[in-house]
Amino acid sequence: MILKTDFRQKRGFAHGLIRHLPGHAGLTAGCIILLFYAILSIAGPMIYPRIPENLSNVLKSPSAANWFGTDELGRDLLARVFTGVRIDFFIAVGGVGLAYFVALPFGLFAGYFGGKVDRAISVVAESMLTFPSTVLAIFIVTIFGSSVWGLLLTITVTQSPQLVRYIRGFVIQIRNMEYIEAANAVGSRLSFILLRHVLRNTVGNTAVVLSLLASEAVLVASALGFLGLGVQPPTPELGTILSRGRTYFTIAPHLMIFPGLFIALLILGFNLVGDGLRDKIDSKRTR
Amino acid sequence: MANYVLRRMIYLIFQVFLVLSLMFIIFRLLPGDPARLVLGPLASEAEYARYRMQMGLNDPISVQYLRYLQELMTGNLGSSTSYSQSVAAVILPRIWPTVRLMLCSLGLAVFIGVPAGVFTGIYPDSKVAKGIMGLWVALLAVPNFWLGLLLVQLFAVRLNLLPSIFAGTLLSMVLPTLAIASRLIALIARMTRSAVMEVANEDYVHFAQAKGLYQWAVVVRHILRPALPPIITMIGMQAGYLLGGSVVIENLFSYPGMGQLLLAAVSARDYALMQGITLFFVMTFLLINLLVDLLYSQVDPRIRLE
Amino acid sequence: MKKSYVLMLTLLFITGITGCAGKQGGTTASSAPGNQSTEQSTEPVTEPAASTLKEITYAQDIAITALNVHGMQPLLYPCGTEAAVAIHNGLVRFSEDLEIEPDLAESWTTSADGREWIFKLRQGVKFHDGTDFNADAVTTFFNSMLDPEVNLGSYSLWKPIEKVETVDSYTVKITTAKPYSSFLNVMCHHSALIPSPTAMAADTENYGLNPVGTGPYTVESFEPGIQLVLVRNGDYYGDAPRYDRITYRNIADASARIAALQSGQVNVINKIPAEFAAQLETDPNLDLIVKPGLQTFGLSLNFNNPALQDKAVRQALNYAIDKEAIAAALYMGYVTPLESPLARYTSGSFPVGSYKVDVAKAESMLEEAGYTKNADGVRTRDGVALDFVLLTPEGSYDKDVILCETLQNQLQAIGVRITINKVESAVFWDQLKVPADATNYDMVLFGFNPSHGSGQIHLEALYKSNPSRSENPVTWNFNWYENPEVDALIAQAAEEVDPDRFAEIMKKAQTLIWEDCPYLWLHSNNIISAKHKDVEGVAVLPVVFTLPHR
Repeated sequence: MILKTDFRQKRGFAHGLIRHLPGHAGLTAGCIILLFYAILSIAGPMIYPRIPENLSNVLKSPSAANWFGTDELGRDLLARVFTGVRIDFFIAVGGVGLAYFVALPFGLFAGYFGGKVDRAISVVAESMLTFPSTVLAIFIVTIFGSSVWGLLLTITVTQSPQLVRYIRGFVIQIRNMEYIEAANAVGSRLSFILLRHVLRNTVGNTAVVLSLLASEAVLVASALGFLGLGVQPPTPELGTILSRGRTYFTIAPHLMIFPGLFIALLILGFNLVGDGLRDKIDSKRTR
Repeated sequence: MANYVLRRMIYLIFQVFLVLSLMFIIFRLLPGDPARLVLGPLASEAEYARYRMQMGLNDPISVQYLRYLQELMTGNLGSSTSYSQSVAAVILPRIWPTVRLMLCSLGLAVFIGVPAGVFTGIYPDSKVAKGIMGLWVALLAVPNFWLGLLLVQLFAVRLNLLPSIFAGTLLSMVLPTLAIASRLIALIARMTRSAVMEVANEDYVHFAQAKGLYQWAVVVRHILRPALPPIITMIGMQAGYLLGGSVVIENLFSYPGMGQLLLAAVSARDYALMQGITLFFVMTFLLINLLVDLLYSQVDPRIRLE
Repeated sequence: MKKSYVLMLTLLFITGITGCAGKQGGTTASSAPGNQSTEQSTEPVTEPAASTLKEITYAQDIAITALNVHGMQPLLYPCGTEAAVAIHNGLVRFSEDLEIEPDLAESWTTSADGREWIFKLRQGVKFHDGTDFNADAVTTFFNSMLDPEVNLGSYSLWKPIEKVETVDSYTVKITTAKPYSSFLNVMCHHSALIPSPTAMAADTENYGLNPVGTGPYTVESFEPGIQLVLVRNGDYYGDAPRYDRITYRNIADASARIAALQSGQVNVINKIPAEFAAQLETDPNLDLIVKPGLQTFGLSLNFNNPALQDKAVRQALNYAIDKEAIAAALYMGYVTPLESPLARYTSGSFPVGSYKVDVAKAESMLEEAGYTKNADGVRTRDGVALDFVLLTPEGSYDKDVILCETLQNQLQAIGVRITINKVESAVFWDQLKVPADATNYDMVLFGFNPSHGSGQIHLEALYKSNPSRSENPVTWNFNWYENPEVDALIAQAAEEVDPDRFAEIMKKAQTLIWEDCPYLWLHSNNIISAKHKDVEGVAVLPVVFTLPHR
């Protein structure tokens, strides 16, 4: 039982190791998953440039010929899913990445300078957060239209406020650290302090947040696809395939199972990486 | 404290105003002509024009905005075009069901998540704990619309244990609540676990143990209490998810909530209704945040409200 | 790796239970939780009044938000209308085969010139609030329908009517400016359902929340968007109402709607997608009702595109599509490939041909027209490529987007490239109602449902040429098709009250249009609803109505 054990190994090396292990395994698994998806995203369309339909072979269950079965137009579901991951993957990664670029200056300034700047930025960020992200996403996609760019922008807009908040929090934590005071005392330039000290030290925590936001982004993107606000046909996208497969659930469950599985796996990948990174960072810190 | 609450309420009103204005513009940016959607395909151009005139849709946005603000001041939320009733009349009967669903999901999540989190926090290496943690990971990764569909198929159609749509009974609340709560359970459990693990190593815990306090008393009084703040914060943050993330679930279960209403309003470009619902969402979210902050200060005496 | 292992197991477990159980085809027993006061009778009951099922619940796909159907035809058609028809009556009504039956009018006559219609009204009928039903009630209401400020949604149907007069307390005379062939269709339309004049006058704005009619059922409670409960009207003049109570609910998601039917929570449902119909048919506890519908689907071909101005190209496109395969694969056989621009049961409809799939012929027609395949496989002639933008709404029509995807594939096979532009349903119509030069599409997936059952109005709406290219299309000729011969025939048919001559003119018009191919003709839909076998006859009409009360 941890209480008794920890009394003996409270800040010991062994304790750190034990906590290290699960984090490590999860992190590895997550990275492998994400790598798999990255490869699929790039290679998918190259392996399957065209997915032919076959109206006499619709809704067939998984078989030797079609490992995942066929969809309602007789297209190979495996091919559809493999080419479909790229949209969700790129939108999640791209959207969050873009959100990072947008949120970084705001979070940095808000956290470091505090006061009025902080107030102004926080008010705007929080106002945007008062709206449920799915609903906001629906509005934005409706304005920008069904396209990869529209979805990308939607994710960026919905994730930026959260990111601003997180970055601000990390910066505040660091701002109070002694080495910042020292740097100031020495007379280092502001930009130098920001970039060298503050930024570098937030990277770890930010990476954690980014991966978790990415997993949320996949959820939002697939939910949008599910609600019919996804990309233009015939481009496959996991949420759209899932939504189409919904009505066939009782006669062709494979249509819902495989896309759902791949969405869940991608989310899992991001989660594992995020958790693993967090565990690693935590274990580095002495307690 | 009263001072603080007052200040926050003023701030709240300001924020609501800001968001409402922003949304007003965004809604008008949405492509689509409400006239066509309300009157249907049998009407001709003349009728559409007449309808637009009647609803004041031809006026410039600034005029429409001012008119809206004026009406808002007098407590009039406008009238819904898709319901031919006042917006207030449409929204009012849905407020309680939405809140109820939120509370039930939250309640279920806390009821299951906190004990699970405490358990795995105290015994992190046991097989059961590892199994539970694996389950959370699964729950977090599964899209809730997928889960909802699976639940309906399993419990309502195959096993016929639970109703598949909401019928006003407590039993029919089970599936929708489960579908929404699943993700929350995982999040709360995880958060509880890490909070508990952090606290479990503190000196005063070992001291309490050394004092000879009974095991679970230690847990509740000394571990859980300080672990509450992050849990409460998490709940506050998830308020947004609870409000909006249930949109698809409400559709699936024919549950008379706000999320479903909003989707329908967007499809019909019923601006007045969309604004009314936005107002509800924003106010609820901000109120929850306020509540969370107040609770926070009660639970953790170290926190002072600024 | 333990976490992911557990994850996989868990997911497999969940999907295993649901997926495998599905393959066994298990159906639920008819003992249903949550269903109030039903007794299940084992012998088929033939007389309506003797049914032991006293209360039924009908789940529709769209929510009923108001019952004032006569002023507008909101996005919510047909669900609000289905309920309104149980509460009100019109002078006449449609039978299940779209024949005109007397309702509040016992009989009617037409004058020799076809412009006057005299209706003899039923006597001794009262509205639910006690007001007498008489000629004045009819005249007051119909005159308000003639006012374009009031009748915003269906004015175009009423415009040809000049005046409505009371002859005596139970006779009404309606005069049309010119003979109006679709007049009786308008009288069957939901905009002609007659409300109580007292109730209307008392609260016109909120009439939709408290409708008062002469029908077999009255409103017990109404929560707009959530639930409507009707109770029987013991004084109804017609067939005694079967049920004591009918509850209308809405479940937007089709699979959820079906799950509710299968689990016994509801007794009747509408709008069943084709893929479920097949499995519901084999369910011994349920009855599937399939009726041909009036909605015609096709790809509207924009005459502003030079390539599509060529009739050979348009016809070739028609030959290239395998409509039978689409009907079988996508719709499980529940649609009917078109044989005319009009669906069967639409007044004046007549089968005039078929473009049976013949890919070789399609390709040779295109070759002869001079369109040869270039390096990308797309046919071009003098720099004009058969490269089209196909506009489709999403969610407006059954399988709209997936239908476009297969059309895209099939046309690609003959060297025609299609780019799909899918838009949200809410903005779809806006894209079509633009002047000729502002069109941003080459083809449009369009389904038109004549809710009044009139083929003449259907043809006029889609195929009558627009007067001005710089204005929006008058009704739904957004592909700017023009054929003066067709225009003349349509105009003639509008005023032809004699049924035989009407049929002749309509047949000619349809033949011409069919040959011209302003559309890539696809199919007409079926209305598919389902009920528990213990529910007595539910009438399903081709005008998309599922009426549990008949």
